[in-house]
Amino acid sequence: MDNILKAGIEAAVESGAEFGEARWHEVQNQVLMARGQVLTHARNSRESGMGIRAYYNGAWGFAGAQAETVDEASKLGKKAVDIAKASAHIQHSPLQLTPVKSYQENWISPVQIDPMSVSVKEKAELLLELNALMMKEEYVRDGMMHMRFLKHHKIYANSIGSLIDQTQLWSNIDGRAVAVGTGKYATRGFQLSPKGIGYEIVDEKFLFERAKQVGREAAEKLRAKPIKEEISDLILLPNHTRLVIHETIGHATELDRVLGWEADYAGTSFATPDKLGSLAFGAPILNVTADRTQSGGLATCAFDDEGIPSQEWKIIKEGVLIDYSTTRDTAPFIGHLQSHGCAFADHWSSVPILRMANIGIDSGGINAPDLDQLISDTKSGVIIDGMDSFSIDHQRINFQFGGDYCRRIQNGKISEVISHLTYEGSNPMFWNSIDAICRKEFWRPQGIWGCAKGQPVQTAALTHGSAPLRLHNIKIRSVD
Amino acid sequence: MKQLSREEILSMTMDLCRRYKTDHAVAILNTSSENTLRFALNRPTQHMGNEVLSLSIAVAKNCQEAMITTNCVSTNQLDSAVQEVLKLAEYAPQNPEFIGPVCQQEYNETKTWFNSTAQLNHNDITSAVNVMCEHAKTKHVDLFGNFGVIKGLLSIKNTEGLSLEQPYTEVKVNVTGRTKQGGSSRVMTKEGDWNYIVPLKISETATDVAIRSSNPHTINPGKYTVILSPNAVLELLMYLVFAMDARESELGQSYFSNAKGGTRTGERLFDPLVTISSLYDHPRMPTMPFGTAFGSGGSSVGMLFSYGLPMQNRTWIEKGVVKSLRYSPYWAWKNKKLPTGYPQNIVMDGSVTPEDEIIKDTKKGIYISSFWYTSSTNMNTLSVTGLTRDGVFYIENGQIQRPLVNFRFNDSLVHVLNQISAIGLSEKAEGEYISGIAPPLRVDAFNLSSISEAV
Repeated sequence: MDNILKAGIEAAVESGAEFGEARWHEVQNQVLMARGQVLTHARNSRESGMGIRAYYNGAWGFAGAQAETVDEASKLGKKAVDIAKASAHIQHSPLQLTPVKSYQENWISPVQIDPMSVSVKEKAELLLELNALMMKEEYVRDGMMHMRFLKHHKIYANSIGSLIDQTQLWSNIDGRAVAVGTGKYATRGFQLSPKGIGYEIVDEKFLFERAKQVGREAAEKLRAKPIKEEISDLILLPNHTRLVIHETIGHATELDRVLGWEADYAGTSFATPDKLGSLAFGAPILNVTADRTQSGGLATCAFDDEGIPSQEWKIIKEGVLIDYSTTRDTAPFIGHLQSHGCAFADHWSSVPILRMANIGIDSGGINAPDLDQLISDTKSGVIIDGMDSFSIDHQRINFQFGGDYCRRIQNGKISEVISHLTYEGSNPMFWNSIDAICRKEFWRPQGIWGCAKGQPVQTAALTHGSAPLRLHNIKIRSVD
Repeated sequence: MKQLSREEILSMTMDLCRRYKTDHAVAILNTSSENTLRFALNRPTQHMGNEVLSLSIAVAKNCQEAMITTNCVSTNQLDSAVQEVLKLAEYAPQNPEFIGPVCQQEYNETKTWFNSTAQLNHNDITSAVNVMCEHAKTKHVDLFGNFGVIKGLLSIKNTEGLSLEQPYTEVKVNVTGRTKQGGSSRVMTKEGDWNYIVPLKISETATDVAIRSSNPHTINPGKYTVILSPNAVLELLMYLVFAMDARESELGQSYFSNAKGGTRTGERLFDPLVTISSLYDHPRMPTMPFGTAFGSGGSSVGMLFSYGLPMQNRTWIEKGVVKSLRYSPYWAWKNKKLPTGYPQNIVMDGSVTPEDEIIKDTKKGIYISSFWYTSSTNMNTLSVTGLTRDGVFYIENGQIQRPLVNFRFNDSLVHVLNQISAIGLSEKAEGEYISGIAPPLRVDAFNLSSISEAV
């Protein structure tokens, strides 16, 4: 394969490319789904091919196909340059690229148990058993379990001699109980946060306990009462905060959005470069770290899809916006001489686009509270466990999120469940209202698998860690 | 290594499935050539050309079923793929809801291939984008978007003798226009036939709305009479139609569930002005004459086995009354009904009144061009939130007075479709996830719950 990749790059360079890169990419996927006592879905997929990207006169061209021979790769390299030349023809303001060095490396996700080595029978039986446990609870009519494993094997080469062989593995198991009664239905979900590890993610003891618990909680949600609009404190648990970090910080600090490149589809950002170093994105206790080296992170790998080594860097320091996620063609717009290595393509036929790293909120210091202390220190509020609806505006300012399992806190104690709770926030006011973050022992990495961006749409997975945290004076209400 | 032809790939797959003694099997082969140019600030940012092949095989033996997708289609690789999917099925528990593949049926013809589109290459796409961007520059508007062209061929074979093939072409153009004064617009177009695409016209619309929506004013959130554009209407209808699943409804897991059991089919739930259908043969958006029983979120093995269902025009809501729900093959069999197929478009009947007339007839109101980032907040009540986008205008005394800053909305579709005070002429509409035909609607007391400063 190395020679085939090199042939594609050489053909691109011979055709005029100032820089060329080729990626052989195999995606292997297994998905199992069960509804009640029926395995509704057992699917494997395995697709491979080559994508070549050529840079010519300030424009990119990309060509993808199942090139399996030197000749086919050469044709693909030439096609990439043809496409780049067409774009360059109307490129009135050439794109600049930060430099990249040459690397020869191999990397693989830290896998203890290869998911494909575990039989489908064993996996299916587990899913059906978990559904049965959920459905033992009164009012629970359905259990919906889902298990997925995905492997990206990429061999990357470029025209300055890099040759990088990487394998990323993502694993996930999640489920949902559906309760029906009192003329309505309610669902309650749970998830072993998806991680960049193998089948060892499946912690059966935890799953069995959670299945019973979410069955009970789904039934409990049927009896939950709605609330009218009010202002309240919120305690967000890490399995909820992941989505808030993802939508309000991660996407807001992707430099391609900041530059407007995603204006038509994924959206842009309020956190523009003129605010870099001065915007109070949050209260001083808010520190946000981007890290593509984080152990078990879904965005973790050794190099991005532009051959840039993975890094760790601060996005927000003591509440102030100080940096972005960047790629080779976006970093020059803010005067950066190096990319942070955030290019990712989800398929051989996909162009690498900017994807946030694993983005997490740093835990509080050694004197920060534990979760019990945080709750007991809250006179009146709501604690939110798990994710539900989510919607955010085009510049990542106005957002509304729903919680899966939301309970009142009164005088430091957790009380009743609230029906269909949503809260509304506004950047950067929301993160400026954070007043407590639990200490390090309570910090949990939580994965998001299925982030859609780009045209045609690509899907990425990333990890957002946080400890339980509290926000003041947030507008909440039920949607009933 | 000799490359197999399409016919050889499909025939060999079926032969292998028979040789390995599957009870049932289906193979779906899709090949396509795709070109996409993305642009931002009136200049290209990405440009790609792909040749894609995808083969999906579903098998069943003793009601144990599984599927595999691959693009590795040499003789040996096909053999490996069939063995792998059989092994997968062998380990899967028997599916008590198993329904076998569709037999060959009568299909009407629909035209989904247009030579005008098939002959486009990356230079043509570049020229079209250049026309749009150069025009926008003269108006001091920045354009952002993508211009994609696909030509492909879909083939299906199964062990029940089904053999189908349909070529298709598609041009998809999404354009957002922005001004430095906070103006914004969006034009979404999807056509099979390139002749319907006029790049200059797309740019003229995008620049016009972007300029007209510049320097927006802020007004308080609250309940307002709104006029929803056809695109905005289609975005909301998607939540309604996708919720109309018979199984979910009968099991109490839908707005269409009857609290006393069964479904609400036959009940008048919406304003008599509301008639909603799916029409596979609509002349402005013909779809394949065959389809599947599930959306992409459904059971994919079942989806493959149900491929080949003849698409039928179907009315979901007629004059406000629920006429039919969506039946999967299993639920249809259980209830002695025919499977419906998954809707490939949404068509809402309108009137003969042009949108301009509705605006003229509106004393005070807000015109909403489109919605963005909508999300279901409570499916018991068909409640949805989201944001306005790309052109919100204040109407007073029958005239658009000024552009407005965006809003977040929170409302129930049940409320929206019972508060219609005017309905206009239906026209082609595009959403992120579905195409359709929809009218502009004037809706009273629509809940614009907060301001969204974002452009």
